Amino acid sequence: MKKGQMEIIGLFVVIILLSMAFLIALKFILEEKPSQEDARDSIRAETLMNTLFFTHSDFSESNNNKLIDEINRCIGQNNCGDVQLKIQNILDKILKNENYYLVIGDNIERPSIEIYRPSQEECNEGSLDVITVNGKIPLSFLIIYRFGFCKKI
Amino acid sequence: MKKGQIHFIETIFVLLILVIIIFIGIIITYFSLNRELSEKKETLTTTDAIILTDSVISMPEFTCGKSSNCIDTLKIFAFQQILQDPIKRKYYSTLFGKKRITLQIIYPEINAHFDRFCSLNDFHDGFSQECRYFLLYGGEETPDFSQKLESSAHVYIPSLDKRVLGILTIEVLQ
Repeated sequence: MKKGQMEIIGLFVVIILLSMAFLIALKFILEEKPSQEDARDSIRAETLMNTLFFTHSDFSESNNNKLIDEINRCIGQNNCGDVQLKIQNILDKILKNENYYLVIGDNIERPSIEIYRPSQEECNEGSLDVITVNGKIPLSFLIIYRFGFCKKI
Repeated sequence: MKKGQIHFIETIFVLLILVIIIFIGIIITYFSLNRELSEKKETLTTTDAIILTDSVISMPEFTCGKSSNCIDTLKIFAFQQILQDPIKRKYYSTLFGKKRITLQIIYPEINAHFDRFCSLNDFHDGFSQECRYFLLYGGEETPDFSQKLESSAHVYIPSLDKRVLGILTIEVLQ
């Protein structure tokens, strides 16, 4: 083999080694780290819902109503406007700048309480990453809820 | 120039380029490691605060025992008394570190006018409803903080036997 041919082979070896090193470096750089945030959000959502439903609605000693009683009553009477506003105010205070949705009702397709922030269109699966918690309202056999955080991907 | 000299210069150039490549590699590795370490530090601080948020609620010093995720207001004042003892204060400063822990009543609503920390006097006859904050640990003044974590919790008022909705806030001080 001539000297020139050997140098070209050497050059190829160096290029191959460099490309391999570059590919390995790229793999580490682009590697997706598992998100702890999603797990945290689902725990947060569950805690929030359980806390919310069992909160007393009043400081007075005579009134022992909890928010869950108001929800049950309003669904029974088919008049949930005030309760929805109340829940929305509470959630807005707690979640501040976060986008979320909460639907409650005996029929989840046609819920009695329906809160979306910023809006239903902007908080749908597909356009946004939605972390959802589904559940039955404790002590109630018929009423179910769905709560989720809507996050921009 | 002689052939031997050309070979010598060629070797020097090859070595120089190799040194430059190694040097660039070291710089890239240093900066990426540095960035990774600061990211890890931030993640660990957040994780630490998250763990603390969850553990504060279940600590016997604060929990109301009736249900999970609930803080007893009377226990908060009892804890403030415990903190007067320097030995116990040192113990809790090791446990909580450089953090401020506060609790705020969100619902039922308290008049916005009463934007202050509650004291034991507010609970002499039921609840005065003239305060909204509770200081669990740290100073009353709002400090400079690098991170702030919030979690919803029940605030138990024993004199009324009521659980109201609150936010537990942990501020990690700078």
